[in-house]
Amino acid sequence: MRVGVVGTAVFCLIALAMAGPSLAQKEQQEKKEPGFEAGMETAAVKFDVHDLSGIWRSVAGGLETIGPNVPSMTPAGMARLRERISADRVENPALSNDPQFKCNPQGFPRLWLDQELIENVHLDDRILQLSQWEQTVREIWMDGRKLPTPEDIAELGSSFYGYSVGRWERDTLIVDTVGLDDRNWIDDDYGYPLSSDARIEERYRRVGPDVISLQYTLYDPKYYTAPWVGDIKPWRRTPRVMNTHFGWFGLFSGVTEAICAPANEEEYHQRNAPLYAPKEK
Amino acid sequence: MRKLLLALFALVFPLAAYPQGTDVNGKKSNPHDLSGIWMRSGGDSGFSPAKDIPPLTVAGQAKLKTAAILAAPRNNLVKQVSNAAESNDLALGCNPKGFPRLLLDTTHDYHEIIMLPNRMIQLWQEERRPREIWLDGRAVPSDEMIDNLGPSWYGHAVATWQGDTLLVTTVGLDERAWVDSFGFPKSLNARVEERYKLVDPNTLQVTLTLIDPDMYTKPWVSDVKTWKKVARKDVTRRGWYGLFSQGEALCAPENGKPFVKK
Repeated sequence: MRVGVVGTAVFCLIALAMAGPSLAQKEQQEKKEPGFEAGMETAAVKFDVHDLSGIWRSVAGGLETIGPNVPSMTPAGMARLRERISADRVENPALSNDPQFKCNPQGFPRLWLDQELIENVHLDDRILQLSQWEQTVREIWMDGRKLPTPEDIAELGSSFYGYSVGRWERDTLIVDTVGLDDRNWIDDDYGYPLSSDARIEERYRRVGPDVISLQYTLYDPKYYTAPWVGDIKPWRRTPRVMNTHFGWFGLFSGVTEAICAPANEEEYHQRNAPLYAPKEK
Repeated sequence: MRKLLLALFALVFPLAAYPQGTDVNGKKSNPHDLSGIWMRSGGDSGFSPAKDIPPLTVAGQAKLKTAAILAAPRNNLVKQVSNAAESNDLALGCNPKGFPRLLLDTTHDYHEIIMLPNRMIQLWQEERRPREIWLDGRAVPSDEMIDNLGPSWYGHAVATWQGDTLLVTTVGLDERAWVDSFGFPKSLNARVEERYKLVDPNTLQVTLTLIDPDMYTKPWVSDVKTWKKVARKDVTRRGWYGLFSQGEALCAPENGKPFVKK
């Protein structure tokens, strides 16, 4: 009896070994993750307008903000703006009160307007957006849920990256985000404010194999007298070779200091303090 | 034919088969699918209980002596302080916890595992941090590659399946981050191996091994850390499902104190 059981087991093992590739290997061969196929796509390649996967970078020129046509601001919005000292507006960056210099999260939409690398990953129920800078993540839910109401947000709490819901309207992905932390600066250059009641709409369209066009619109009647409709910001896919350093491929390859760490900031300021020391007359 | 042979093998050796079934959310379980939102339910909050910590090298002892921690010490070299202002724990100042500490420390926060064809992503509620574990067959970075890539708070991680155990190897870790909240050190030459196994559809266990001859005289093997899969309803608030429905556990200095969940 014992020999029969052992013999059966041995037979099974031999047969399995001869049966060809393992199930795991076959699964691997059959599945290919979009966006990771070798090399750079060319204009001749057909593309799926609903597939935004891959690693992208904004190549928009101009200021890294929603758009050049800023609507007039309410008194509350102006007061909030006057509190902010952008490093781009003063000679000595140490005079800036930009929260990012103390390693506060940059938040949304600022981090996305910063022209850093973003990777889109499609899942069944959402799109993940991984940001190289800050090594953080944003979720765009595609499961049909509604945007949180103000009452929902009061319980959920405001978020540096907000609560985002997306839907397709033909070939345009429309994303709405609410529940943003009102300490977020919209941009580096001026520190435009947004209130906790703000809603940001993004419209993504894949217009070519390697190009997405993106437009932001800010709805924030507390701070702006009209919607702030942005210009079109093209995102370009970065080829695999640009995201591979010393043989290591990935969004976080080759970037070891993309997470803001106060320990690094202190070291940086100590090292660069002489640059901003008052000059002797 | 292959499936028939597998079924026959499982019949002969029932203990070798993974317990089939559905998880707490009704999804059919697969031993190679670790996806879901998880919460710690067992295992020491440090790398291991104190009795299992291997002797430190001279360099490791020197490094440990510099630590000023809030937790009750597990080694007489480390100094305990009574408030955060006196501690030199980088994590208290909103520096990244790094790996493996983020995995060890999160006994009270959620994390989500997402399986993709070429990698596994761990999303940590704390720090809002994604960690990539590559399943695409790449090799563990060599020492030379690490020298070129530079140290990373979360390292460079590669994994392979060994039967139903996922073996993850992580190298290139920033030595400024402690191994755990007890101040134990690690060097840039450290290698951390994790072994993940689904023991049933709702229970994920991992053991870690820290191999760091610069700091420890032998490999440091952890106890078993256990996670339980979380039911969808328990990570849904006001109709909003997801990891961050339970709060954004981001350290922001402007919050006045670290890791304030809103």
